[in-house]
Amino acid sequence: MKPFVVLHAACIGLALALAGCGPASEAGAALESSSQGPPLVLQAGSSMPVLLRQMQRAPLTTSYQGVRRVEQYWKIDKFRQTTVYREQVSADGTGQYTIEPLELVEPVVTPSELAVWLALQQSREGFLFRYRDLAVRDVPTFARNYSLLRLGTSAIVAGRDCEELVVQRRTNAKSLYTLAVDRETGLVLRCREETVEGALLGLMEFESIDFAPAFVPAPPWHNASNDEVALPAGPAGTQLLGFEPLLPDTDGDKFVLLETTKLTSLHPSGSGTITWAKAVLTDGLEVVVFLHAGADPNPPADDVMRVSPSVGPWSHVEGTLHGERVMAIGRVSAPDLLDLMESAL
Amino acid sequence: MDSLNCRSFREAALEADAPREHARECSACAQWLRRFEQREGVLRSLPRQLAPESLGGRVVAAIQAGERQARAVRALQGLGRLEQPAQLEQRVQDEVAGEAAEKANEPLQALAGRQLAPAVLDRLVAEELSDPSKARVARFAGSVPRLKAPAELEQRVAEELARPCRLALALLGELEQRVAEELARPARRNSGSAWWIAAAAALVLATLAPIWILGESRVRPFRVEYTDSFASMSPMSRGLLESASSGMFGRAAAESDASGAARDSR
Repeated sequence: MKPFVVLHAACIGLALALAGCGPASEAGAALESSSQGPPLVLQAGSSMPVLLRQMQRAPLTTSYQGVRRVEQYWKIDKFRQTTVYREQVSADGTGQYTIEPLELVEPVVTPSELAVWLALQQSREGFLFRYRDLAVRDVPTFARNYSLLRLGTSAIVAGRDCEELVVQRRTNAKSLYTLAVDRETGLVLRCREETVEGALLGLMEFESIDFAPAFVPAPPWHNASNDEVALPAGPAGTQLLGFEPLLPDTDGDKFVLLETTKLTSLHPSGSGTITWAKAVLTDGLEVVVFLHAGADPNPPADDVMRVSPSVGPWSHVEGTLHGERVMAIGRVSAPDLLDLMESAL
Repeated sequence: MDSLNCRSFREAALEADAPREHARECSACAQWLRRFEQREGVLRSLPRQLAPESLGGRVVAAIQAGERQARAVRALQGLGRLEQPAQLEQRVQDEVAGEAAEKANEPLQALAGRQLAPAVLDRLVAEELSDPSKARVARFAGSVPRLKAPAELEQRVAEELARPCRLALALLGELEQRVAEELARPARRNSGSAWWIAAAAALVLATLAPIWILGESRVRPFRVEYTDSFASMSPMSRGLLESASSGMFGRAAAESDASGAARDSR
């Protein structure tokens, strides 16, 4: 059955390619305008669209304050979990931001559980702003890995005129994003994530937004609560960590390195700390956090990577490679994470 | 923000009666203090958990662990030596002498009242003696509990088997659409397309087939274990996933770990 399907596809594919109407004829083209005929898919090329650059910059360069609703319909292991909440997000346009959780709509919890959730959610604002929220994180890498479809339609979100886009990874797509992007600022005001089969995974939608907030008094801007510091390259980084950091090889152009930092966490035994080298990578849209903690004090006999059940769209692998303790989590498939692990060897 | 003053203030603020003047002048520390007090309030509002009753004894034992052996030796040394009662030796001698006399008079009398071994035992012993290895394997293999494959395994096998098919079908769907578009164009663009298709088939098959086959037999330089619970996950990973899921992970992991523990106990 499988060889037959491949043969069938191969025959038609090569025929079309040779006839000059297959994908090969469009390779290398830049984003093409959708002014006439059906909208075209973004292709890799040197001329990157203004919209993508605007979307990349908007979260940190736009001053705004708004209330948004976040819905997550995830499957964690074999358990279906739903969380719906509202939060106020503020950014001053110079890099300062804060996310204040307002209300937990679902699940329904006791008042004391709600107080704990609100406090924990507030303490996570750095992670949420940097890694949870959809963003174009690297335009060239995005263009290589994703298809962008401009629907040519408008939507009004929180009273703003938005352009509607559909974004999907070119290969092994797990999700499909339908975005409403503010035409003036490039800020994503609505993001609907569905599986390729059409099941809703998540929704973020601004209910109100103000692009000229006064910020008086100033909101409690995010302050890092951990000791994370930028990791210098080369021997200085090794000296700071106390070991040579393992970094994934990004030569394959599938991922690009965004930042490397050093941080410490409490040792599970309660005494002492563990020093981590943290590398954040992106495929242009999704994030992968790669962590290396140096030599494993009790290394297993052979190299082994454990793949945990998926947590919604997040995958996780963890283990020991050549006696070094490593882990990676990201909104990509587990095989992608294993590829990154392999490339770090 | 004066980082040195702020750091000193924040370290000092952990004490309940620490001065708070700095927070009036520094808005960042005022915000930090407000959040700190809010979290402290939340933590104080949590129900207090009682330690198990055995904890006290275990703590004392752990603290004095090094002394335990010395104390035991001292206690034994302090015990006085007890002499055995005078009649004990005589009684032992009587018992030994009586048993010897019984065996001499009636050797089978000692076996009276015992159960006879079942007849099948003879056969089992004979089988064991004729092929000891086979008998040992059968005995141990039969006593090993049968493990059930986790549901995750079946799902992953199905996904792996479906992957090349999905890829091929996706490619097929896209290409068939393009064929339809091509055929819909004017006849002069289609002239000779049958020849192109025939030539293309052989070339692409030769190109794609090895790639497809190699893709199936990917070997990684490390062993990959697919786990069906979060139990072995490090605290760092749990923390990251808890943040990524806005708290959903903790609830699901607790359910998953509990169902895993129940499965293991069965």
